Amino acid sequence: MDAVLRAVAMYVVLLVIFRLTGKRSMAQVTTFDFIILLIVGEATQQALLGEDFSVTQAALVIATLILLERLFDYASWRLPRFRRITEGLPVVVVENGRPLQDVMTKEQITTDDVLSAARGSQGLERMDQIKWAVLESSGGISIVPKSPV
Amino acid sequence: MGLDIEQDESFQRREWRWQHGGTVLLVLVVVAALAGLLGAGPLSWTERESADGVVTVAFDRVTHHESDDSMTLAFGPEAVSDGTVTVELAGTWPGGVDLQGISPQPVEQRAVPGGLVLVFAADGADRVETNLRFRAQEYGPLRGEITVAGRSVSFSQFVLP
Repeated sequence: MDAVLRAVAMYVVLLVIFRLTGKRSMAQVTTFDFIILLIVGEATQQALLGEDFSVTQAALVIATLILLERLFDYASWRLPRFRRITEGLPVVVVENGRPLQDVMTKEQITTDDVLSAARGSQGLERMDQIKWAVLESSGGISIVPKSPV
Repeated sequence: MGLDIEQDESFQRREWRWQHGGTVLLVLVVVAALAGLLGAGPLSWTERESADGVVTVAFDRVTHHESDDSMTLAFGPEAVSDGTVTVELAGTWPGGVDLQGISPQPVEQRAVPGGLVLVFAADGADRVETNLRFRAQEYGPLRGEITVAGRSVSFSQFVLP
């Protein structure tokens, strides 16, 4: 019983914390983002297993977490409102080479972040080569380049 | 728009408000934890005394499940009889924690219905202090009552999961 309750509690805690602190916390852009995610993993592990290091406990925790994932996936598919609440919506941040400053301020991303994503995914050089830049619900920035004239 | 994307401005504004509120809440939680409202800390450490001040217990109001914590008991010379101090621990607290160590060690430790009896050697000259190290095993509020030489002190400790 303990294993299941711990797994559910940690899943909910992590979901709430990451949803409440914004999309970019999931993005893993810098090395430090990656390190933070590793540390979060370590902190979670102790709470999930407690003092019970048996195979049964580990199996139960894993089973509960996978089941919760499936449940949330199903609910997100079935109820768009549920998906919005748990995942959020993508947000346009650059339109036709023009950064939307108010949106970028709210989401705390800079033009450098957008340009870095443009270089990485499309090999673009400048802001005016970007048709659309969208901050996806995953925290990553996707770029639609302007068609060459 | 040209871009086939699901967007909802009012939802987005609401989401940003929630995120702002959520960050404020997290800051409050961390500050509360630092102050000791969510576990051991300056706001959590407190003392309870018997009516005449002979028996004192110092402990954390809030503790964590399966986390090392400690409690200090102190007795004045009036509590000593026959060179010993007999402490009776009753309530849900003794059964709800795992005692890891007592220092100084009692000369005798007995389980009695409803709790625990500890007998410490004392010379009656000064205040006797003993430190109980324990780990909470149950969740929620744990109430304890310490009785020494007819004087009683009650305390309550909340165990967070």
